[in-house]
Amino acid sequence: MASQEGPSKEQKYDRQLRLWQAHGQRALENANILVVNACATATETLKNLVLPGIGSFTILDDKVADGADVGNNFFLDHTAIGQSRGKYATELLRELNPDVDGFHVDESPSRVIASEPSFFDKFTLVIATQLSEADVKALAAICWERGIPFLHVRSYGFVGYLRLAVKEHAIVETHPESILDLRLDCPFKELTEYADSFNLSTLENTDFAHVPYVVILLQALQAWRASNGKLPSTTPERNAFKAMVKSMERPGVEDENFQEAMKSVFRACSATVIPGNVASILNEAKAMTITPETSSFWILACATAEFAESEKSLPLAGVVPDMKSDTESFVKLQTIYRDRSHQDAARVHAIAASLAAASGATAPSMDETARFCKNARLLKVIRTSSIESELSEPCPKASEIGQMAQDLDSCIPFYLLLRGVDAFYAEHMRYPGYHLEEVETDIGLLKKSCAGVLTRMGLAVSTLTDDLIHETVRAGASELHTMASFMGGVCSQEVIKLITSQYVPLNNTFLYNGIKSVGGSFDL
Amino acid sequence: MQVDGVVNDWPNRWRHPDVYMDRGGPFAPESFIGGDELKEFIHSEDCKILVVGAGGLGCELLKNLALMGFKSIDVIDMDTIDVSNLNRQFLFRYKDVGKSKAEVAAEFIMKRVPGCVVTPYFGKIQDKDEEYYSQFAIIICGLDSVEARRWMNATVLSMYDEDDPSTLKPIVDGGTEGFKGQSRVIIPKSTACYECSLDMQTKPVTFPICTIANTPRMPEHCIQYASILLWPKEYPTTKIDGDDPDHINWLFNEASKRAEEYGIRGVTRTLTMGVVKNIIPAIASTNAIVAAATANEAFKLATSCAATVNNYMMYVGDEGLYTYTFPLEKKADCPVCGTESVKLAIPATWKLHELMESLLERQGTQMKKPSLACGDRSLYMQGPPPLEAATRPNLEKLVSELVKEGDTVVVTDSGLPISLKLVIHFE
Repeated sequence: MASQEGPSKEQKYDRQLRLWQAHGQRALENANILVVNACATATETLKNLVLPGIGSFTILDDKVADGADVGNNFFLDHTAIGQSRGKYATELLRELNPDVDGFHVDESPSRVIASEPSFFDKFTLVIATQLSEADVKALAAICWERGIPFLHVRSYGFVGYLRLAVKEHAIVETHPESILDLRLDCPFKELTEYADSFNLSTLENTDFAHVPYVVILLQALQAWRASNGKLPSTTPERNAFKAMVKSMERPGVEDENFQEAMKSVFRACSATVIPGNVASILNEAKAMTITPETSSFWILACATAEFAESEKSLPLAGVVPDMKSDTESFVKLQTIYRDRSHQDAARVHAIAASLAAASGATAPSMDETARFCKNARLLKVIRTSSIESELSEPCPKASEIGQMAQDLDSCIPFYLLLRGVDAFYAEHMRYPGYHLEEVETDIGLLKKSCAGVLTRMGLAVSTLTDDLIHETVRAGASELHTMASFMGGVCSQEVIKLITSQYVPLNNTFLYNGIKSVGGSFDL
Repeated sequence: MQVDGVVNDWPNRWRHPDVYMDRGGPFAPESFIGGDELKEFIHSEDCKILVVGAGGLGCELLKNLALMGFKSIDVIDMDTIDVSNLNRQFLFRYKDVGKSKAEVAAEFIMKRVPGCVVTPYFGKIQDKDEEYYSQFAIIICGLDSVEARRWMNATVLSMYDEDDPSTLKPIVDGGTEGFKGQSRVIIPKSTACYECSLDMQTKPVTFPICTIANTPRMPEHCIQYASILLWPKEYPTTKIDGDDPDHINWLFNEASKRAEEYGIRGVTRTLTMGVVKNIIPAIASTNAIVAAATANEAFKLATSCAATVNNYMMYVGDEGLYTYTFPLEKKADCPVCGTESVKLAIPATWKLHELMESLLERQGTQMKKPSLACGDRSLYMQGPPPLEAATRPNLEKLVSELVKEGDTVVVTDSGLPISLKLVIHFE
């Protein structure tokens, strides 16, 4: 069964291609990511990126592996003790997937961050763990300035933390459960003509039961408008419209299509509009000057804005959900929507091509344009806050954080504790409770560090209880493999969403309490 | 350092988990007793763990348990390795395709994590008896089938004798689908069991036969036409094997022909495989998240170093990142762990076959081939054939001719170690 040349990518990656398709996979295979420090959280993150076939990874790490490093890391074995941690981890990670390149840079992360910012230029994305707060801040600033997405992930005892900092991330394919864009309230010419071609009163019972609900609603709306002039908008109007649809039913005939129509009455009554967040993306695009560096997302947004201005609507998605119907009527309906969406996409493509040509940018491909138009109602742009602003003093979000900390189940206190731990480390150059005999004294010291952090942030010192501080000292900077693997999973999942530009990533912090197994996402 | 053959823990090897086993804390339960005895217990055979399933979750679980210090682990899986597993089942390589998942996984873990003994079993969970399952401290399920989970759940719960605490076996269960997943802890008799929450399962999408046969609209309808209607006619004695490329090719060709005839677009080989095998997308990251959450619960259960989840955590990663943790409620009339019987009101006009059909529809029970009895009378038995033939005429009889108001009808299903007791009332 197994041949020398290896399996085809279609077979090997089948279960993930169903989620992000060939173009998502291509993006993954073109990515080159950097991971700073090869602890268990880092190698677990990488495992989940090497397996699906990321292009290449680089580990920046100069640590010599010790017994504890090997104990919790699946990508180090006992022969690595006393050897370069990054080198061994790179080898064992590469062994997972022959499609992936892996490199190790045996340098001190602190030194590279401080003196060689251009080192980071070539990476698609940067992940860091086990860095001091000062290094995180400096590295985040380097990435922010270059527009490189930056993720800071950590597993500290039973606490997990992930922060994403990205200046701008645009998503075309958010993959909702279904895309619905039927234009019942504003049918285009071909659609109206098709709906008119049905004479409901003369149809045989079987044919009547197979009239697509879209046709039923279009005819009903036409009749309503003929006598009322506008869409049914108030509750009494909608109820009257509903009764009107109901009255079109033929007694004794199977009514699945009418049931579907009744379920969609509300939708038929609502006007097709450009959703607010999409409108603001289009407005932003309109105000933009296109340069050779402008991404195809923004060129297409600009083209779509122009299209929307003349058409007073977005390009049609061209998707028809399955509905009770005979094959011929359904396929005809599908073709009408699809043809129209192709026309719309072709127009957007032509506008985009001329915009690109005028500014020396690369024109988006037809495939890309078609995907953009199909998802035009669902476009999303994410801009997280920067880590620099998050760490500024007083904390810009202090009052929200203080509010959230009141909730007993909230994970936000763990965020404050980790900042306390970082302050402790900066003051004492070690982690609280690392050695058993230090636990008692470190409780007092960590309390002091936390009080300092809270005060500088602009929060009450009482925000953190003694119990939470004690439990944090108990953790003794241990990196439990289960927590490392959990956070590695979470981090890699966000990385995949970022690199494929599909699905919606976190904005911007995820915290996990491994004791209660409760998580929470926060915009910090 | 020579580790081969001899189990040598190098200095500081268990530093990370030991921190939590050496130290108490304000969030450790009162029952927590830290120290060397606890650490030895975790490493010992007295703390033997069973991992059910050596697939996406199983591979992760074995790694997680081994690196948390569990040294005695059994793993059961009846499957062999397929190429499409390699994107996430990281203990397998291309050269392993066709081999037993349990055996390859066990071997890999023992090589990478010296001192950990993983005993594989290449076969079905149903092959093993209560004596086998009673040797474990915790049973962890990383399964992709509802039936296997129900069987495991019912078996483990039936082993529990309230007078003998050693028979209490917690189950930790995980599951994934695409970017979503869940992890939960089942403590027999004190939390909801798997059966209690069966109605949370999403039903697989099915299309009405008349659509498939007469009015196909979607590519899926054409594929099901080929697999449900054409295949049994063409190959009445062969079951479709979704892993056989010849079978998939035949179905794909037939589905394409039908699609072309009706002007339907979108039949592809990938979709054909997806529909025929009911493929659920699966990725490394979600598996890692769910398996880690699951193993984390096992570690807390085994050590009492912290509370366990109460009792269900779901993870949704496709739109932002969202988790929701909540207690699933026990059902008083759960056929596995409940104490009350189920009251069922049915129309007095119902015949037995109508009762049977309503049982098949019942989301909370999901019977496939139910057999019915009342007291020691068989009402309808799916087998053996003579008994089936003898009871078949009852299907056309009124239920009210067969049982009295308030009688208990016992429903069993050969695939499940459960009997459902229904108290019948006529409307």
